[in-house]
Amino acid sequence: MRERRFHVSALAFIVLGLSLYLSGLPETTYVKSAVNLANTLIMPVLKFKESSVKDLKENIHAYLDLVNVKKENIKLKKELEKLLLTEWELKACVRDLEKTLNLVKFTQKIERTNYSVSRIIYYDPSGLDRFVIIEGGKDRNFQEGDLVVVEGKILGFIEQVYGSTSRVVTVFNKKLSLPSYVLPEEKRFIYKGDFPLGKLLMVRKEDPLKEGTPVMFRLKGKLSPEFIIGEVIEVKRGDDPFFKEVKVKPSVDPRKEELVIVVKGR
Amino acid sequence: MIFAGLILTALFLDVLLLQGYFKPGFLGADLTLCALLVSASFRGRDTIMWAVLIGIVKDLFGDSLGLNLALYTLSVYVFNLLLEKFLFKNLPSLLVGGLVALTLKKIGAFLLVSVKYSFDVSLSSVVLGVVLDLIFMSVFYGTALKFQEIRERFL
Repeated sequence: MRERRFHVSALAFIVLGLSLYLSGLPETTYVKSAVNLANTLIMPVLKFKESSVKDLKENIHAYLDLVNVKKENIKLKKELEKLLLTEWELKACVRDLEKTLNLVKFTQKIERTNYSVSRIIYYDPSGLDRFVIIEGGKDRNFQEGDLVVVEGKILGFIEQVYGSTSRVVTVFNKKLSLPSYVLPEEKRFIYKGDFPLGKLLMVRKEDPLKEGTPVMFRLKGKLSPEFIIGEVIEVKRGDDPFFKEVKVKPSVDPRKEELVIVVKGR
Repeated sequence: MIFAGLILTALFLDVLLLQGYFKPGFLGADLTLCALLVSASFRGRDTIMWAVLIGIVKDLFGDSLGLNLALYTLSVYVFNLLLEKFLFKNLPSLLVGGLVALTLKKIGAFLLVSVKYSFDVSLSSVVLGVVLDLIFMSVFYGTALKFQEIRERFL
């Protein structure tokens, strides 16, 4: 490029740029429509950028989720193995007990309890934890009324059985009523679910019930361990002339649980 | 053709990705101008027309018609003058010359934009921009030298 032409053209473009920027000329209709036209031509590039950045972000998130799922799977697998081992141990205990009963000629027929491991797949969206949905339904022979427990604590019982899922009413649900007892004398009461605290019914005024007493449940006529429902946290005399008002804090927190055991044929 | 493709790629990367990370964008790293300055150190005065063209295209991406046209042309023009005056052609001299041109562009942008708009300046953003500019220029210069060497060997 020649000396003079180079300087003149460079300075001319600099001045043109400055005048365009400072004059406000781009705001006039003709220039603006030209700019709009140029922007319309550029728009596919912007859309492409937006979609590619979005895709990239989604892929990264998907990858990270996948890594988490793998870790979660390993953790769950270990838990499942532990539970299966416990189940196997329980069955061994039952066999031993039956042998002992035979040896001492104990004639009463004790029915075996069947267990099945399941997983919570949906929680009550209201936040009141009144129900959960678990994996397995008619396909695994679950029945309405089957007890659902977690680590010796009662979660609830199956209210409705679907094809491959079941709806479980929890100990926070008003629909749930369970015959219960308190240690050490095994006094019998009725537990009624409610959120956030359940109630213990039929507690007479003279019953010496104290805060901190565990409320238990055991399957009737079956060889089964005792399950804990909750703990008495408040005992009031109440308005009723015969019965006390007792509040029970359930031991289970459905949102923290994932694997559950369904005790079949309650 | 290859040069045009590279400059346009730099422009799109600059406008679509890089500028979003700096606030305000015109004080951050400028990949396109770095590419133009390195190109000017090899091609000389011919780069001024590219600066004009890229300035216009960049103006169309934003809402500041004329700003980049003036500043890109000015930076490349000043860089060319420095190049011819001091006859340097190595990396340290390129970086010094490039830094002068880039600083001129950033000061110009700061003054011109503050005439019309008010904005906050982040010092860390400006410093990061300068560091990235130096890195971009070094990488472009190294790549261009390698490319030239390969071309001379085979053609």
